[in-house]
Amino acid sequence: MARINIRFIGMWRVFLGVKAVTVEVGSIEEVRDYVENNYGDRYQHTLRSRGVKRMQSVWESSNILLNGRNIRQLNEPVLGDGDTIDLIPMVAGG
Amino acid sequence: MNGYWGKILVADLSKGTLIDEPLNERYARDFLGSTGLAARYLFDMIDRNTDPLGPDNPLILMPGLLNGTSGPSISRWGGATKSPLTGYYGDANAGAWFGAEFKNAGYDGVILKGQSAKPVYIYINDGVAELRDADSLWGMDTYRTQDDIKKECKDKRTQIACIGPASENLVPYGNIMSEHGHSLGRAGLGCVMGSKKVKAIAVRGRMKLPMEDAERFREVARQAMDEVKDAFLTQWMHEGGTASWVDSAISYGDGPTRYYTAGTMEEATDISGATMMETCQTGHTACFGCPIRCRKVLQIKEGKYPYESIEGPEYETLIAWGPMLGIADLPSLVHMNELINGYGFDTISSGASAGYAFYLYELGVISEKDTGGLKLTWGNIDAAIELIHQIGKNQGFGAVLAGGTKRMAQRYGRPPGEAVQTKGLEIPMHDPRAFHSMGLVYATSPRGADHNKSDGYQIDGGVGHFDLGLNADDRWGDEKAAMIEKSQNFRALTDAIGICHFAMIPFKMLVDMINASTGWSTDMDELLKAGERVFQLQRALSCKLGISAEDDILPELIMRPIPDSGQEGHVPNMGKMLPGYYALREWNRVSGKPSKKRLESLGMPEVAAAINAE
Repeated sequence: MARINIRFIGMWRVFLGVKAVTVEVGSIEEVRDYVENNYGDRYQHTLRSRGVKRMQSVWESSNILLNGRNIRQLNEPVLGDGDTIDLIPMVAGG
Repeated sequence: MNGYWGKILVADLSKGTLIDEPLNERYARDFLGSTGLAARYLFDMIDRNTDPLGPDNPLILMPGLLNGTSGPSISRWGGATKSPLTGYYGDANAGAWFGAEFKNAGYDGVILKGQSAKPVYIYINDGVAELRDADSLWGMDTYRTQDDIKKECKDKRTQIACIGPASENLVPYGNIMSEHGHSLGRAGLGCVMGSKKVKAIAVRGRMKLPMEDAERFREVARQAMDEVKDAFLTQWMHEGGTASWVDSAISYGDGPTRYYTAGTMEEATDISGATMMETCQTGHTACFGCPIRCRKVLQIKEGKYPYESIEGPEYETLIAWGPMLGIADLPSLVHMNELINGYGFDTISSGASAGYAFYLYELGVISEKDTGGLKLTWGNIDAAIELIHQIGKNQGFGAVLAGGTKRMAQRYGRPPGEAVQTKGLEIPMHDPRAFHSMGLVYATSPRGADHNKSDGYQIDGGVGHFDLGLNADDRWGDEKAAMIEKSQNFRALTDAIGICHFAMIPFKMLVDMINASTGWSTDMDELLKAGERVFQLQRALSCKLGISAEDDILPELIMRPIPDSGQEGHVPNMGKMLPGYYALREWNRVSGKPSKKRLESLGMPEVAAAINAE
């Protein structure tokens, strides 16, 4: 198990009402489960209140960085104490 | 030809004449509209010897192919000219309501030629154009100019594209502005308009565009509207606007800070879209026919610059006049944005020029003797505001900044690679050390550094194009040539049609709308080929005006690794990316020209001949 920081970047903090949490997890899959179990319903509720019908996942709607690297490009990443996971919404700039 | 009016308004300002000329239907079929069609007309009209501020440089403004229809988020119109900032090809496009009104006013475009002896504006009302005196408007900011013209026209629905004092004063990156801060915002199209003494173009259109199958169009447009409304990106862009990228940029190291010497500053979260929503956002505004409504309305209660209700700054402006100068104060940036839009100049080139001045001041290259007494220390908000006034007036030290960073480096005898620009156009606020793909985009974009000619950072930031098969990849990878080629072609296409980057319209619906409007039997492959045709034409025009392969470089300053700030010391490997890209594009490794074979395969033998392509 590793004690890691999960940061909810930008509009996630507005939609989910949380900026950062520290959790003990054993793998990236456990991070995903933690996020969806604790914040998935809140996100769906927010979307419903805005008239969106489609189901959307917090995890799948994020670009996820482990210490700055996109986890989708990492080969079986291993978590260590003090690591930081950033959940960055898949938005565009200007 | 359905989908078009079949006529272009040609204004010869030297003679004071307005003449309707038939639309070149072959050009329209091949280059569609907006910046695509404008570039094709421009290609025939300028060469290396054309003075950007002389009477022979035309300014060509055109609506997008589907502007003014019920298609969702298709509000963007554009223009092209020889840029007074760069001396090369220049184009820009903008949203808001002007494009729709323009298209429904009965013209497929306006070509401004010559130079007027006195200020004028052009008024187009349902297919009838007239030249009007603008003496009383000269000197006004862009907001009052629009108010006064609307009063004169006695019609609040008249839409106006105008210049402010900056373009009257020939600031080389002067903008054409409409509504409250929508701008044809790069490469100095406004400055060219100012050189012609044209203060504004006002349009009112109640005409019904001839369509092949209007009922079919409405049906598909309704479906497309539902798709856009329900899209993930729509919800996020509505809530957070482009400013929501500020927080992402902090994580990625994507927001240039203290003139590219840092990847980010943590305090920048104070100017983000999320912070606006939490502290001062009171509503949204939208462009024509757009369900996204991404622009923010703010109320600023505290500080030196209170506003009861004001449109908020976009991402590029926030970073360019914020962290770029070491500033992260939202109320001040709202005020600065308001000032700049009133003067009417490019927030990106101006912010980068101000950042370069702050950098030179820190190095001791310039001092208060040069700046007229201004202390350009990082974070000095009052100095930044004073610079905005001086740039807008093209006076004092501001006149130095008005020339852009390339001229500044020359003036102070600095290494050319210290000016963060390509082909003379300042690099926008997405750092290629955070997204390597952007290095390739900036090096190869026809008008110089241009973040809108491709979606490199968006794709590797997770907003892929599923219909194009483009999905997020390693942001520090250097195998980006194919992705960038494809997305550049796509953006050249969507710009020509007039579609906003944030509207996720499924390809099939896009094709159906175009066919229903025009009566063509096109498909997505053919449309993407049109996108490539536009891009290669704009490249060929850049070559005609004097650029070559040696201009496809990134400045040295932005290739210095920054070990932290989200960039972790990465720099794009241009030596690896460029050859692959050149091979895909079939560009000559020395002249930089597209090959004769490629241009001919895209139906442009006359363009190949004009640039002596091999």
